[in-house]
Amino acid sequence: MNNLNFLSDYLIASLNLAVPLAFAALGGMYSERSGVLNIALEGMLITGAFSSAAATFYTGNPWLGVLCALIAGGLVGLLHAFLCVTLYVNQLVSGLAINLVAAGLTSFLARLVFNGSSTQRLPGIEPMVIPGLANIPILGSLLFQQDALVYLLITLVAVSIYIFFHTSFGLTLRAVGEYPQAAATAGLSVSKVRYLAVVVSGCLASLGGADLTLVQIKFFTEGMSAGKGFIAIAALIFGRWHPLGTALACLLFGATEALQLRIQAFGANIPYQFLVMLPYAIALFALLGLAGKSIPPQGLGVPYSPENQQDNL
Amino acid sequence: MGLVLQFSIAQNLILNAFKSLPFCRNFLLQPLAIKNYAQVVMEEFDIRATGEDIKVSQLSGGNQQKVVLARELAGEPNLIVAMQPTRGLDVGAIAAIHSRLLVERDRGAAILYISTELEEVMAMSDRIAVIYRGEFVAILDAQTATIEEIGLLMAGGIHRG
Amino acid sequence: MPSRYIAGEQNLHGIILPKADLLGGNHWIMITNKRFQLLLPIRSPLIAIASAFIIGAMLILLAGANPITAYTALFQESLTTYFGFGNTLTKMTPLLFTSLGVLVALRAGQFNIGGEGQIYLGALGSTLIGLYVQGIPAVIHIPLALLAGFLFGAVWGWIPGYLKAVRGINEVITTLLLNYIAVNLVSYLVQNPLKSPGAPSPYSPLIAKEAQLPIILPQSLAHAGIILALMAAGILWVLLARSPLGYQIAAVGFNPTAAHYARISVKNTIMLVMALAGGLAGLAGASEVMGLKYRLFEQVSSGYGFDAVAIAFLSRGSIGGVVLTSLFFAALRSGANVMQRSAGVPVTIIYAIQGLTVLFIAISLAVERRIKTQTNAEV
Repeated sequence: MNNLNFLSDYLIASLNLAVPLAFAALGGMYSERSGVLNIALEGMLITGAFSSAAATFYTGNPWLGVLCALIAGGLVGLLHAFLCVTLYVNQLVSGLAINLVAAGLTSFLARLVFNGSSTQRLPGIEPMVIPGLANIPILGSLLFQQDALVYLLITLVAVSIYIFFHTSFGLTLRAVGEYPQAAATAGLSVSKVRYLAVVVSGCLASLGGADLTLVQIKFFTEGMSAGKGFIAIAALIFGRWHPLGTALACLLFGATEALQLRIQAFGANIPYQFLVMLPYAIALFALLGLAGKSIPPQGLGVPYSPENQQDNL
Repeated sequence: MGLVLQFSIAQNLILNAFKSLPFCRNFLLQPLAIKNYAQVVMEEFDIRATGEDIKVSQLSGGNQQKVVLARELAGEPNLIVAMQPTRGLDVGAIAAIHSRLLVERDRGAAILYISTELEEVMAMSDRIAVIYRGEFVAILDAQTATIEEIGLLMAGGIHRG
Repeated sequence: MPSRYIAGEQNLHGIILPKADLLGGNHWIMITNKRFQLLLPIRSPLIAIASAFIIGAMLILLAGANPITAYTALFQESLTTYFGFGNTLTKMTPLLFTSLGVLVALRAGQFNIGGEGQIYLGALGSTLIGLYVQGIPAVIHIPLALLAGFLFGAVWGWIPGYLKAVRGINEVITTLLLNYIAVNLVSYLVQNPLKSPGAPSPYSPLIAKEAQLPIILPQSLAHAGIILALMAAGILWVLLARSPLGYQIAAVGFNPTAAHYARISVKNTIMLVMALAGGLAGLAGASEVMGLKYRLFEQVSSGYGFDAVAIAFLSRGSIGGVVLTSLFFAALRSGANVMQRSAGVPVTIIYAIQGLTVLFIAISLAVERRIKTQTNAEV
């Protein structure tokens, strides 16, 4: 019985830890499917984490925090879109700059808002229990006793699959990412689609940050995103830019992190640093294992400029 | 693009040879040697620019192509494969490229000239090979071939004689 | 008319290589065009820095402090006092080393964001030589330790270089992931095998006296590392501007396809450049251990690796710019503590300002390029 509990516990933890990753990775997917590299996921994560924490801190309502995260993330996404799509700033540079600014600003503002107080316990989002179904052993608590954001995520994955592959908007998005010249010739506005996609990515990644603060840790600390944004990118590549693949990859990384937190309970004499390293190392190996077989959208990273369309030889 | 657009004319000209003498000595590039070489070459190939230190991105298409030509022909190659060398160029540049290639031919180089411009091919070649469905269907003597014959072969007709 | 690339170009593997041109091309050339007389590239960075400081001032006001007092406190001690300037030089050393590394990689179109991890590895390498090699004179010990630092860092830089060159994996992610691995590795080592016996907190024993860098400004913390860093800057300048290797690196950075057909090995160049970048960052770590701390601590670098990226961008690819900007950032860091003490502004505002400068410089570069291409189109 103990083992069963442990397993159930472990699965739940894996799922929970995967959620912020998944939101960020899905956000990244929207952006990159439209052709805009987004390494600012880390910055968007921490932005969401901070804004939701701050909003909840002031209003006591975690849902306002979520809303705030969405707005803040959307704005950051707008910035990234503006830099990359309108100003043609190199997309890597833009992402890096946003990461730096987000890290710096959130650190600074956090000091102001939270005044270094450790009594910063935030009202969080509690799991909802679906009656009846929640009593199924293992699966019950895993699937039917989660907080709203988890359900939102699962819905999001399903919706994304539908949007990407079964709607014309999804087709438009993918066309713009694969071959913007053709999309433009067909009369689509490449800029508008990219703007939308990147703003959405900001919102989603930010939501991941909100999940971190409001569901998992119920606290905000500087740098709490700890590279999750980058693991999300690795998950995106590992998942071949497909909603389901990406989500599963995030689950894998979540499981790795959960393992790290639990392995010490085994009394195994593994120094904690190696366990902390584990998610990052696994992400690295995942990239390694799939390189060449995981093909990004063809137009990824190349800014599309209408006047730039002459034959390149 | 076979040119490094952000490099100057001189820098592009030595792209194939920058690691050896005379452009590189004692592990350092020799700016004087490079400059002199560039000036000589610009003269020879009629590359029109105000100096050898101008970035090639500022040259016209014809002049850029001349830079490429100059760079590749510097080694006096035995075989030259020229694919659409005059595409997008003005008449003067086209003439310059053509004449230079003929000079190379006279030097003894073998030239494979690939083009979609029939007139150009007929004017430049000694022998004309026609491709249909990925294969050579005929190799004609340029002096005697007619445009109708070539056209027919291009479309899959049978070679007579 | 040739087509114009704004940024990014697919290389042979179909992977987008960011072009080194994002630095704005050749450095101290007057860019004249019909409508604007854009000054030397110093104009954009200055505007970017100024804008960042203005926003910083607003943030300071938000924090309830006086921006004038804060900024004065920031710069006065770090630049005008003897000890403060010594401090600034001390902080400039790792910044300069690492930024040089980022710059070299950038010339070949590679983004080395792994400076942090490479610094840690370099610190580790030099510590090992400092601890386990005993009894040799300083003239040998110091270069040996520095070499170890360089090599350790170079390996850490080579790995993502290899992954990029041969497997096409974007180096931004690999370098970032490797950072976390390196930091944790060092943390483990310092807490366990390398821990000084009986130490109250994790740190290694003192390295051998012969492996320690001499202090150059008496009664201050400034050590010979800064001289080494400046020498490295000089050597690198000659390498990049005047040597065939520098030419090769630039060619690969600007147009890998053309370089490939000129029989330049793009893969080898990328790996070399990343190793070099890692090695330079490794020297940063080595100099911290050998010149400042004399032992290995858990925290070797407080974000120098990321600052270096900002510095490399701000300096538009010029080595002189890197030196000056490193000095500037070092002064910022050095004065930040003073600013916190006397004006009550949290130290973290420095990071916000630095991030903003990178943002603004990226914007100004992009705007500049737009102006250039638009007026070129009209020529």
